[in-house]
Amino acid sequence: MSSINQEKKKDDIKFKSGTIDQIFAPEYFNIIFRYLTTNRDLYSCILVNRYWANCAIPILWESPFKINNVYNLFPKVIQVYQAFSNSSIINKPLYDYPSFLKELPFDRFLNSAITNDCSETLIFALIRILSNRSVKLRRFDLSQLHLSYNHLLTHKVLPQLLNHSSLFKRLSYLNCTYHLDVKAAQQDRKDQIFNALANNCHNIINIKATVWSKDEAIALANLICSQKWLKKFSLVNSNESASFSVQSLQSQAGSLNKLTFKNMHLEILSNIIKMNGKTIETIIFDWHSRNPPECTQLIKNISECTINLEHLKTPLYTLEQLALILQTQNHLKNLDIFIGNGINPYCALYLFINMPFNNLKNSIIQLYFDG
Amino acid sequence: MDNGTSNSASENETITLKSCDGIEFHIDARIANRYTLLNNWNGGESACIPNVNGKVLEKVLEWCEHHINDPQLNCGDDDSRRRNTIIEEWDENFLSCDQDMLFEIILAANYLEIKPLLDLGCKTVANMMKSKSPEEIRSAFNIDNDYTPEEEEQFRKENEWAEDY
Repeated sequence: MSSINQEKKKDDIKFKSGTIDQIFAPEYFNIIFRYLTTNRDLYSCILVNRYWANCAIPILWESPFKINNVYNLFPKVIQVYQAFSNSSIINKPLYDYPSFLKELPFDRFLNSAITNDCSETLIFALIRILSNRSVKLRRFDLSQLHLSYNHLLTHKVLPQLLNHSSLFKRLSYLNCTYHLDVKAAQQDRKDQIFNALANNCHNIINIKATVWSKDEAIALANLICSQKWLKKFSLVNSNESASFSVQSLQSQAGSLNKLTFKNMHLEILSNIIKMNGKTIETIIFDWHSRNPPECTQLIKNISECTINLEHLKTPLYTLEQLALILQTQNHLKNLDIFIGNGINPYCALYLFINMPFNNLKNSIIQLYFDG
Repeated sequence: MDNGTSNSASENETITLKSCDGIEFHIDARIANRYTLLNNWNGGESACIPNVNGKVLEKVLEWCEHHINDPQLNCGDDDSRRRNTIIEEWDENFLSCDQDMLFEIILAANYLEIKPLLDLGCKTVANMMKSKSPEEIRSAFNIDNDYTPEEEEQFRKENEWAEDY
């Protein structure tokens, strides 16, 4: 929870029977309201009374452009923001809503503004509104630029946004997994985005990225190296040039505890693992298939190269693959295996029972059988 | 992540805790080992936990005992909205008490720095608010509306984008 200081806690605990408002300080409501998963529920809470509004408004407005995974746009949020661009506000909004922004999915912000007929100048003014309020983003999302309603505008606004470097000072999550066709990518250089962020953000703990060129991969490596304590890194739908970025994860060896590969071509992934075996401590493969891919070479590379692997989550489709993992891994503390239907469950268990498990005796092992 | 099996105290070891109203509880030392603040109050006859009465402490310790073998997850201080609001059946039954007791457990869990119980209590309160209108919430928690009609109308307008999702 967000910490509640000790002196305050002593006062809190002196329980007096009363309503929830009288009993709980705002810090408690901050935890309670974060368990409301829909904006509709938070909206109801805002309308309960002023005290609840004080607690719920900052939470509702920290991420007003995204709810769940549905691609919704919020032109009404832009309208409220626009009220702050006018210095002589007649109907002054009740709260300084833009100041609460913490999570920005760029494409949804931009598309919401475009839907609202905002001109380029007006969008720049919106960015200034955020910057002038010392907004510090926690999360920046560049995953769906391909859905942009106006690519020309995107190419103008994105560099402007990145120029307001103070917005990104406290960034802890970056999702830069968009992939545009070559022509558009030339205008919207991902390496420039990575380099700009590398100069300004040093506290990112979770990076999710897609890279398709050496320049992008080197810039991403630059971003990775400039972080103080990167904990999670996900490589999504990338080609072999991503290996440059994966190599740079060595600089985060003290903090990195989760490496995820998603939608990666098996051969590319296999080579990346071969080249970066020493760096990798945790591997999570985020793919399951009814039609088993030929992943024996990948599994072989894992068993031969990842000498410091502590956590592995993967599907396995043949007994040979299972045996490879069980024979070679020495440091595994956590093993999650999805056993494909190509493996007889009894054979799999027989293998487990009869393997010399000295290396896995203190490990947590979870097996999931298909069907 | 600690798997929660490395408590140094053995199963038979017990410690004594005393509530602010003088009720003594003899608990498995492993419970105190998990929660530093409880351990700090293990001091024999004179040591008592200020501000937590026997009735509440009994509930808190009952929860701790039931979850003694749970893995100790490092939840971090992530401030984003939570997505998991599922409560296990035992916990749901455990917190099926009157509101006063539920609130006291939450305050005590925070005071004693038992974060999983604090989160569980807050999740339970949040679940009581779900899918309710402002009027229904006011009625459930016995709260007065202190908005002027104009103010309420302006609030509705400024936040109406949130109403649909």
